[in-house]
Amino acid sequence: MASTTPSKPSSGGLQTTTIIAVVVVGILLIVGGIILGQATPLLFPQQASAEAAQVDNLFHIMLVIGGAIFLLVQGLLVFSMWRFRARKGETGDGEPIHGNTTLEIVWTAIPAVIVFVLTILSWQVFNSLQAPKPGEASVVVAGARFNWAFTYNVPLSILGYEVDETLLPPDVKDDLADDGTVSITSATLYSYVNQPVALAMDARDVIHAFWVPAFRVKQDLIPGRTTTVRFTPTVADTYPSGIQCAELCGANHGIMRADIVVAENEAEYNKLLTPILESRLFPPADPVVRGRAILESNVYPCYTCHVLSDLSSANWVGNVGPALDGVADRAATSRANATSQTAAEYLYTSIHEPGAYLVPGYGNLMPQLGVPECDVWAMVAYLATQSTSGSAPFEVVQPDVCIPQVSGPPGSEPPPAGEATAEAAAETEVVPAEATAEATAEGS
Amino acid sequence: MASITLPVGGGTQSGAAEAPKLRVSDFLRWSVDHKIIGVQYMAVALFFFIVGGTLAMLIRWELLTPNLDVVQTGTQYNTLFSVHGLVMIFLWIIPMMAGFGNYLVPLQLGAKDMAFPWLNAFAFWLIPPAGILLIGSMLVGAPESGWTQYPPLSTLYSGDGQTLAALSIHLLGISSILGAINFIVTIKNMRPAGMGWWQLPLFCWATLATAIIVVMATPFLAGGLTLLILDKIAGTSFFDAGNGGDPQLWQNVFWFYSHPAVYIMILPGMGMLSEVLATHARKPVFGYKMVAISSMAIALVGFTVWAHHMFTSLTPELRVPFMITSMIIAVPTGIKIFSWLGTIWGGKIRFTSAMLFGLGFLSMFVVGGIGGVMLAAIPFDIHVHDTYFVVSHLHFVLYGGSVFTIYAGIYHWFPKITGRMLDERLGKWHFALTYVGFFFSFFPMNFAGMLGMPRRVAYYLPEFQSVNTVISISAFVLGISTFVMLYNIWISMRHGKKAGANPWRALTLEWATTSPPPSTNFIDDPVPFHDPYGYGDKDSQAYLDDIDKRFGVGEDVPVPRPAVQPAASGD
Amino acid sequence: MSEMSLEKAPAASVEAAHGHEHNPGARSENLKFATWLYLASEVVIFATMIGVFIVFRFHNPEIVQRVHKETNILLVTLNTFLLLTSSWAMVMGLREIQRDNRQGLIRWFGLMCILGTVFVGLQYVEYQELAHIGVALFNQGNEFDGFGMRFYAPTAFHGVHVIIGVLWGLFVMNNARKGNYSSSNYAGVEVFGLYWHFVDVVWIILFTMLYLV
Repeated sequence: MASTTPSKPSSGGLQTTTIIAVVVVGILLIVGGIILGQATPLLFPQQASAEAAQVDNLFHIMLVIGGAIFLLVQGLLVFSMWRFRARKGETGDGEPIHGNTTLEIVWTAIPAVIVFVLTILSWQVFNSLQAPKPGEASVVVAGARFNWAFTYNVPLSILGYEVDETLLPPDVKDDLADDGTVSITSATLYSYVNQPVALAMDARDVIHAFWVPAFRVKQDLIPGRTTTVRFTPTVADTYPSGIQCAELCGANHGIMRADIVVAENEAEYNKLLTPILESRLFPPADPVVRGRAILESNVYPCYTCHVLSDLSSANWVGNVGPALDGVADRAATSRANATSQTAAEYLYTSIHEPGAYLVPGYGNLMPQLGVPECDVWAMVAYLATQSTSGSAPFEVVQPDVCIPQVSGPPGSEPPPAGEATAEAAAETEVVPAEATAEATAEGS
Repeated sequence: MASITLPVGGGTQSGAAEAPKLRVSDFLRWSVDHKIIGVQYMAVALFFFIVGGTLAMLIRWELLTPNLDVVQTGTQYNTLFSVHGLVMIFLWIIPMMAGFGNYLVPLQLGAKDMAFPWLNAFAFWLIPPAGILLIGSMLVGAPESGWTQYPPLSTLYSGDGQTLAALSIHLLGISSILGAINFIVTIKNMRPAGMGWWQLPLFCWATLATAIIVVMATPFLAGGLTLLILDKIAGTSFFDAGNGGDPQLWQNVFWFYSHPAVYIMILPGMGMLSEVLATHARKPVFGYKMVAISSMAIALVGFTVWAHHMFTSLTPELRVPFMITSMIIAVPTGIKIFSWLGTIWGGKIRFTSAMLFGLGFLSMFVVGGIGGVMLAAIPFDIHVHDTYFVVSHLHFVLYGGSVFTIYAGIYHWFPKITGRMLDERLGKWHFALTYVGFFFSFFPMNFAGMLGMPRRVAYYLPEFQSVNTVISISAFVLGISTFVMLYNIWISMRHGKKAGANPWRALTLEWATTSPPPSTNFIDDPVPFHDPYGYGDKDSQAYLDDIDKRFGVGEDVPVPRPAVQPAASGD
Repeated sequence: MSEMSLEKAPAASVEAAHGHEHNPGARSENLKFATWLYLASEVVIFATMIGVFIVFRFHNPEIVQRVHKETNILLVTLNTFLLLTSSWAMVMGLREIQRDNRQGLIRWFGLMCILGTVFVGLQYVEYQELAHIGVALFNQGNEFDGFGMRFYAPTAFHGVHVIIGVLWGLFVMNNARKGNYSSSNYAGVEVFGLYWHFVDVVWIILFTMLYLV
């Protein structure tokens, strides 16, 4: 009460000066908010999907409102600090104002209205993001530590030439659907401009999250259920590391990335998929080459956990699982002894059923990836060549169904000789029953 | 008011009461005195603050470059931030707030101790073993699934350290529950005559709201952790989808506790802030009832918003209700912010270090609050979920919020606890370094997150290196700022100016006794002033003068006395 | 272990007189209120576990029905009856101390402790029976997979509460023997009574949710 300040800034009566001050400050805040809102495009990455435009627009509105509130609070704070500072030598207290019901109602009501409006706007945008779009393309996504794989159903017709279906590899024949489509898998997500896409996503081990910053979409992949995310790309471009895992999934979570390629139109898109389809239809005859090609394609997450110098160009630098340099030697000696399997069987089991035998010092961290039978055998053939001597210390015999009948699209070389010997040898070997395993593995 | 004269009871003693001398040994052993327990909480919490801070510095050092260099594997990095999060939440902020609560609640109520002193000590002594367990967990197969511990990463893909960490959190949860029961009983049943609910200091209101949340939410975590630990050691599969479990069950259980837990961490701070702002601005808290009610509203609505942490995993149809509740909770928070602005408006603001941190809180918390409303909007949250935007938001509310209020509380109540003032010049350096370091550590994270940098990554794309460099350097400044405060505490404990009973001329009851208070807190049953924030009132001046007369005034007191004082003159 | 500390604390605080004497009425009010709060938090823990079971029950009704068909509801019903009787014994004991009859309290509480112990014993027999038909804590690849853990966790947790309750009951009896309670001072007995009622009520809910529905 010893106050010497004459003014009464919060008194109840509405004086003309108060009204003018409130109006002026209000206008300044709105202008300030709008100016801050201009920063929106700078804060986001490239706007490359229909969803991104909606999200950015919503954020722009929130930034204008939030910016105005920010300026209001900081402004009041700084103003009060200056205006109501205790001067030197000043004693005593401020005015005993305990409250002002009108004011309190106002600052309860205004935020309430603001959040009500924001809720409605967000709801609308969210509904539009979730709604299925007509003519959606469907892609199956598998997330496994620490890799993405995308599976497309592609009609053989995109090849532009006739394919003799009877000469296709057996697993492709099984996979060939009635509508003439075959599934192909790639480590890159392909799409084209204005084509709505719906991804059906499964997690193989832990929870992952599919995030494309340029598209502003994100959805978790949860073990045990299939989740969906939708987007419509609008800008043709290549997005290196455009997909990023956003849910902590372990040691190399930060590099669980994948590229996106958005083509101009459907024709370009088909052109991008053609080589992948051809490699599926006409795999190289030599299982070692085939295995190497599979491992190099990064369709399976092996490279994110294992290191293998021979494939370092394909990013094989993982540090979670055992190193694979010289794996053939170990398979032929210590591991074969420990598991009482042949070296080839050991390698096969390690991929097919990773928990069956654990290399000392490593936990049971590798998931069952559902790799198709023939792919496993091709990988085994390639891994058998990874010895210090440089040549395979043991022979890997491919099961019948895994031996391709044609080696390339029309016009290319016929299958090389020498297949016959391998085929003959296969008959004497006991091989697991593939047909059923294949069917399940390729079921997607 | 007739009761204003001789506030501290009958006034049979006319001379200044003697403040007891503190001995360090009293704080190193079992004690049931709430003041000693309060200091024990704070000391342990500060120790773990340094531990968690060191981990944070390592994280920022690692993030100076886009690839691994400080740590050898991604797992080690994951351990750093997992333990950083757990330590900072469960061993720094929550125990620190509990420490303030223990020290202040009985004093503010004019009581001799908490309702259950033995239980109080027991709750505290659960913390050191839990802390050792948590730090030890880093050595035996690192916990690497973040403080959220989502299965199956935590159950099937993490080592034994994860189990130890879960056990540690379990113990800390029990400690919290026991402490909270004590707070509720104390505040409900032990108020002195003349202190109705609407005369209760706002810190007690906030502690009450917090304690209610703890009692109702923490057992959820205890239940969930029990199942998680069973999954890890007994071979059950509650959270393993491959064996008939559900990983999302954990997310629901965890966030049903952990969202209310963020209010456990901020509400006591808001209570302290109300005390600090009113006292140092020399003005009553604007809209006292609304501030008190909004604490309760936040506590209540806080139970209905948990799934907004799951906007990218929850079934889409279920997300919208949680957006609505999350938006609603901004309203009581807004009421608090504006009430605090109303409190300083028209005051006589004294820029003490405590007040600077209080004002710093207002300016930082509003940034966190605006970010929070943006995050409640599902479409925008989908983009920035699990990115540095969220890291920024949570540090703005936990560091710019809780830690700033803790700092304000330390500067405000240190004189009461030790009888000596903290050095104001060092305090201002501390504030300046913290404010700048904090802002430039955490504000740029908003940009990194929106532009595409996920959280919890040891590797990031090279384009984010420049922003990360700014963040890391600022973080180092922030780290250094902490040591300014610790140094201040260290020297002021011995050499600080004598505080006297009531250096700030504050009206709540903890100031109506010596600093530090005697072991029974008050010599007689104290009589509270009819309004805990009745500044600017003639009666309150008389009440405060009585305290000064009764207990004497410290040397060189920061708040000048309007009446002529025999002991010392104002600055 | 963690549950132990939860249990012990309120009981131990009975003794925490430590010089700050309030009037006994206020003290007993405090104790009872604290016990209510403590039980509220226990309710939440049990709710978590029962919730887990209900979700499972909802998604896999056939497994639950199969377990019900294989097990003998009679034993559990008897057990439920025993626990209810023990609650009644506890109430009788409380009534005796209100009449200042310490011996009566000890006798009734003795009966209560025996019934509680028998309950735990029969629960063990029940577990044996379930284990015999193949209901295990973790999945064994049989038809009951998924049921075991969701069943054993809440019931074992409840069993631990019964055991602690019996120990606490013995502690109360010992206190009574030493003459610590009277018709004007029996807050310690009342607080235990609240706890024992709680254990009883939780069992009725568990019995309904796990065995009947």
